Amino acid sequence: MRPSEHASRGPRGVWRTLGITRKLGLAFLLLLALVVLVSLAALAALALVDSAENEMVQSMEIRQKVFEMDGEREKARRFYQSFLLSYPEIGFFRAQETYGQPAFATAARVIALSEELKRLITGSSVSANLRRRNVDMALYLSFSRRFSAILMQNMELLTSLAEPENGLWVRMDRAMASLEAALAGSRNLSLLLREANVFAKQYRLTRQRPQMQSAFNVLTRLRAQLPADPALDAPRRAEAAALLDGYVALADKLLDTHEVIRSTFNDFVLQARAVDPVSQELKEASSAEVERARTRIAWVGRAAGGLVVAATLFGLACAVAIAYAINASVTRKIADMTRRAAELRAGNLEITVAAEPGDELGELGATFNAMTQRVRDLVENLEDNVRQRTAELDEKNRELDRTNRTLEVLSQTDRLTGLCNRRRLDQALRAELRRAKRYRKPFSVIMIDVDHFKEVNDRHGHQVGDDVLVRLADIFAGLARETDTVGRWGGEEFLVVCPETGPDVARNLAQRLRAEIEETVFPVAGRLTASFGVAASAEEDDPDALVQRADTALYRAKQHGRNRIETF
Amino acid sequence: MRNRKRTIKTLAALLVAGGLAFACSSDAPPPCADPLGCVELARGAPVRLGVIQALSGKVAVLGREQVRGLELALARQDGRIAGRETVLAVEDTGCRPEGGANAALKIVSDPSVAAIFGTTCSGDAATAAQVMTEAGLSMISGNNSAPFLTSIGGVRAPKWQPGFLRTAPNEEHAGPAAARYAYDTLGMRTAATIGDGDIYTRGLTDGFRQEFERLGGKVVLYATVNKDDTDMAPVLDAVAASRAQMLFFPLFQPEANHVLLQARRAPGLQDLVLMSDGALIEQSFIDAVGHAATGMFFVGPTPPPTSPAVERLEAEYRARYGESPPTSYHLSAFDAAGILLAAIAKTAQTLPDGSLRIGRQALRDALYATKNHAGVTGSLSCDGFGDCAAPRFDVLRLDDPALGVAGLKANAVSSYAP
Repeated sequence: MRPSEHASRGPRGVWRTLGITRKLGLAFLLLLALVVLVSLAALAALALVDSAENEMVQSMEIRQKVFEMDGEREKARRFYQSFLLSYPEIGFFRAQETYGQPAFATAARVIALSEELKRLITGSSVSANLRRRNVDMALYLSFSRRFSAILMQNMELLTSLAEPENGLWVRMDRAMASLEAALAGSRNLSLLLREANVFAKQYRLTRQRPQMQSAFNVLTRLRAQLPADPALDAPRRAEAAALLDGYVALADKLLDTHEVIRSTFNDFVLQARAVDPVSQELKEASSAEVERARTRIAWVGRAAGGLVVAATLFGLACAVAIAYAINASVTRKIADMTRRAAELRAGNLEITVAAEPGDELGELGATFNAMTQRVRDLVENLEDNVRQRTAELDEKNRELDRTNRTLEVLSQTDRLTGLCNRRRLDQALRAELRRAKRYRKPFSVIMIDVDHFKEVNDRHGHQVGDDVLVRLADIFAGLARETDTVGRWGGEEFLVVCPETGPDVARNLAQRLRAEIEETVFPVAGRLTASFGVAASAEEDDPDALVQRADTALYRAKQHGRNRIETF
Repeated sequence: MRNRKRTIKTLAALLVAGGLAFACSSDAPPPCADPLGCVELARGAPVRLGVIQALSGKVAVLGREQVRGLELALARQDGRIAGRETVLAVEDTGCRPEGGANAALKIVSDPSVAAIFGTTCSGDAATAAQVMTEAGLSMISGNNSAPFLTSIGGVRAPKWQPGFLRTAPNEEHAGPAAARYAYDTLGMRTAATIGDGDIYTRGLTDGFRQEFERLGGKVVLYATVNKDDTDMAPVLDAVAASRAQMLFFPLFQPEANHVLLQARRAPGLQDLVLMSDGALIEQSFIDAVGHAATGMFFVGPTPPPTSPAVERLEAEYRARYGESPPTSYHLSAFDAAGILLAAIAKTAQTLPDGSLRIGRQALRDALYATKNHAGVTGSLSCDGFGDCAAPRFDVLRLDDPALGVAGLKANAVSSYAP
């Protein structure tokens, strides 16, 4: 079949045209496709869940890192502030050990965390939403690194400021002490120096530049008075001037350092202002991602379950449909054929099956129909033959019956006279003897012999003799009673069996017969007579004995002159 | 055997040629070859410009002027660059170095930012430019004038950063202009300076001192105040003690206000000649200090002469913002924006897939290659240090605060061009 024909017939038509093997193959292929579909759905669900889990883990790690970095940054800031506040009281080294070094370590940890966070963010498993926030991420990382860098830089500045051996404060104190020593000889200058030192100490407390400016102003006055102070000699004045310059230089440096440190605080504030919202957003975004991933996993689970259930239901529906289709196109046809075959076996030759072309069953159906047609044809021919043969047989049977009947007649009839023959007479004698014995009703027999019949034959020939015998038979048959049996006993002897007849009645019958014979003129032979012997049956008699007695009586009739009747 | 080898070679050549033809026919854009990388903008994505200005505090008016100059320049081209809409990512520096660094960090975190327009204060510019340079971007300012940012004496300045350009004149010559006027015209021979530690004021005070002392004068006090200081008495005491004839204090508001007002009340400073810088040539300063500023001198860039271009821009300014420009820095901002927009338009490449690519080094090169840009302040050409404006400074004197900044700008008592 060409594809265009398939298309024009539609799926059902195409299905019908497919062979059983192809139908089964197609059915199993469809089921296999469903199994594959379910497997693929399960695989896809697993892949999605795996991806979502990775994203969730990544988001949780990112959130954890952001939390950690926030915490570490805050910790570093607190260490730094504690260092700043505590070193004047507990000493630089102890403050550095307690707060400074942990601040360094924490700042380094922030940098390390920022690298880890960067690696996480650039990882392949990070969610698209978080990846889209790369600007925030980059900002957060930049600020974290900057925080650490500035913190470390400030720690160095603080060290340069407060280090007990060579820090700016110490050096200023030393310079002040040297100045006090150098100016010790001048009360006026010492007072000025003390005034400047008071401003410097105030600055130390307030960190307000005007305080230090006031100290500078006093030192400027001191410097102005120094050359003219009589209490100091020239070398001492020169030394004091150099010490003043050094002190002012140190103070300038201190002021600059403090300004940098102060700007750092502002920097930290600005950083916090910039980073805290980003940090919060990142935490919220990563939390949202975790939640989203959880939701997605749940959704995927539900979707996969639904898909599997749907595919299973669809598969079941397909299986039912396939079973229905197979049943409709194969099983039902086979069952129908089986039933039809049984009916055929039972003799219903009018059976046909649906034989839709296309598949093997169609061909089988067509073959079955052809076969039943053939059987029908054969059976019809056989019946005709049987009928014909039966008719022929019936005819033969009828012919045979006729023949048999003829034969039976022939076997009990004398062929010349048509009377009973000797065999039939014997049968009649026996039958009457049994009946006489059973019912105790005697019967009689009459033995008849044509007188001088030999002379007739001799004189006129055997044909005339036969004619005489035939005429005599007619006389006997005409005059004998219906119940009597008349037969030719042999030659020219005849025997009449008279049932339930006594010897007297039998003698009368014999008398009528004799008279009729005597009165009859036989052709050619003329007048003839006959002698009669009558005998009646007796108890315990037998045919031979009875006939013997009749014959004996006949003999006596012969003896006594013929044409007469003798009774035994 | 020879034939078989020849066949294999021919097939291999065909395969290679086919592969090349396939590769060439692909729509995938070629990789970015710019040494500093490229800004890649997807089809339809806007061009993002970072704007870092001082938008809070007393100097906010200057920062707003810069933003408005940029907006006016963008408006001239319907807000589009290279056919794309433009989005401004604006950050405030607070006119502090740390503010500049933090603002720049925020801007450069976004890889889609093509360039930065900023800053207002030179101290911010120094820190912001460092971040900008490390990120491979370019930055142009219409307000930064500190010599430390570009060049001093014809050599690279300490805070120079590649990719930083400006249309505000290098104030390397502002200090000398003030010194010349003070020495030659006012006859000053001793002077005190007050800076705030910022590179902007330091550049001015250094330039003033060098020129003043070169002329024969003496800077008897070189003082510093901190930003946010309010008590200026000690430093004014120092000024008084120094017996300086004049005080050059190129500070920003509000420190400059405190200096001026307290100087006017300080004993022994009644005759002190006061001179400041262009940062104070604006109405808010005059409003804040009033008559205390009478007789005070200001050194600042010479505003462009009135021209149809300037008048048109100022008309657009008034139409857009409903007020007259408080300073003339919107002009240099407009020109800075014009140079930047032209360079981006020149550099931007539209790729076959519709995306826009801007090479960062190419943009820098285009900015540095700016020659004879027809700006409202004149013809601008950028040198290798990033200076695009010809230095020319005026010394102004405030005679009548009631006339406002316009009266001040109209009262140029001296002009100096190196």
